[in-house]
Amino acid sequence: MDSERQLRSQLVRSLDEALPAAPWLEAAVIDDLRQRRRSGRMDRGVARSARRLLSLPRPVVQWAAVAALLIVAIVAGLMASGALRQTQTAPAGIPTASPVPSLPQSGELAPGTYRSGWLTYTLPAGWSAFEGWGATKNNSAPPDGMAITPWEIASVYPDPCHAFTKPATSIGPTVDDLVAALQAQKRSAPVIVGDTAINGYRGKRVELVVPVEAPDQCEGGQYLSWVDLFGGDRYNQAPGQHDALYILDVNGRRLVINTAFYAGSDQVELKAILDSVKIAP
Amino acid sequence: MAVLPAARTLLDAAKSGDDGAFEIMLRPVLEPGYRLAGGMLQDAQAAQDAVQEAAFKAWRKIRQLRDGSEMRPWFLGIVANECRSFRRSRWSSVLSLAGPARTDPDSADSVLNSIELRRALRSLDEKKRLALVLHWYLDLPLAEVAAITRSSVHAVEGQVQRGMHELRHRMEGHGG
Repeated sequence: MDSERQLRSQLVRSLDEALPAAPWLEAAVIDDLRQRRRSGRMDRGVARSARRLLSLPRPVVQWAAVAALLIVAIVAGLMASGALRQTQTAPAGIPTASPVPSLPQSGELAPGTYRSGWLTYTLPAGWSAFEGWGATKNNSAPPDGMAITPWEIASVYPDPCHAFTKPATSIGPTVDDLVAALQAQKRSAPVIVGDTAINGYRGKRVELVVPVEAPDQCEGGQYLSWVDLFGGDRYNQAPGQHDALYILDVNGRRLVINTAFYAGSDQVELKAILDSVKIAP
Repeated sequence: MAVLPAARTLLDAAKSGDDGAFEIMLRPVLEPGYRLAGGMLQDAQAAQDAVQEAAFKAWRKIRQLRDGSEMRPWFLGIVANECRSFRRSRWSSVLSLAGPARTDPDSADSVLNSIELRRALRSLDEKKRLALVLHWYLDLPLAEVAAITRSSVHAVEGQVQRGMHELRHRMEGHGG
């Protein structure tokens, strides 16, 4: 009984230590609820981006507002004093570079070119942003969903279906180190490896397939393939999901483009996106 | 689980479209909802999203809350469902809860133990994890956990016991 009490208090402490207090949550949730009631919008994408903003801690929102006002005031002051006037007129005939927009946090994307960290690509209609980091089509879900995401992989799970009892192991820094670790993973489907080159950078293309029992029959209901430099796991969503990893040596740095797809996905569309990729580490 | 007359009146008002009454009922259950989602998802941002979505769903479904039922178990059941769909739909995650603790731990060992314990909790199947989070972390009585999970007290007790044994086994495996 004592050891039960001890384990219980350890668990409570462990979760308490890591879950940040959110005294602003009540106000944020009520505000969000009122807004959604008023607008009557059921569009999940729009509502989600609104929630993201609302769910920022109150002090962050306040400081961001103060910072924005300060920037506006400073720019207005400089404009008035003439300090910025020279930069307003570009010589005729010289094209001005338009920066590639970063992926937004969420929501449907207009067709166009977007940047996610070091990765830039051009998307057709029908794609959405995921947490300002990935682009997905049909929520990357079966039967025809797709996704493209940039990764820097630090460790690989030896058995993705038993990722909790068999922790990820660190790998070396080269393209071949990662390929070898993925080939050594316990998987029922064969791992297909080939040479590749994207935007002039050479490397390997590795294709992985999620087995039929995953993720539901795996530990914790999760099928985890690898961990990135920041501790983020790659969760796979459904049986039959393919992960094609383009593992590139970019001036000595190993960068990975992950495209996820299913048997019903539009491979031509995905290839066109890959062909548009530009890498700027 | 008797419901006080005042609460009954509030529920009637909320059911008849009084948004103020609904908010009064909602406020006290948001914090336990956040703790439940935090324990289940182990991602603070995701926990906030789950609670926000659950609040909206609760508002839309308030008429389904039966007279004589309490708000807290009903709302926590919605939060638990949100966590379930969130885990199914997500396909990548930064394990933000695995970061540094807010309090000063005694040693590096205790930090590692905390991380391993959270990891061990994540590895449990959903029913055991939910039972442990509700009964141990939120300190809810078994009867209320049973109401939230729509199972019997006996079944919940079994989930808690089995979850505890698995946690202990995994912690021993890690030398914790």
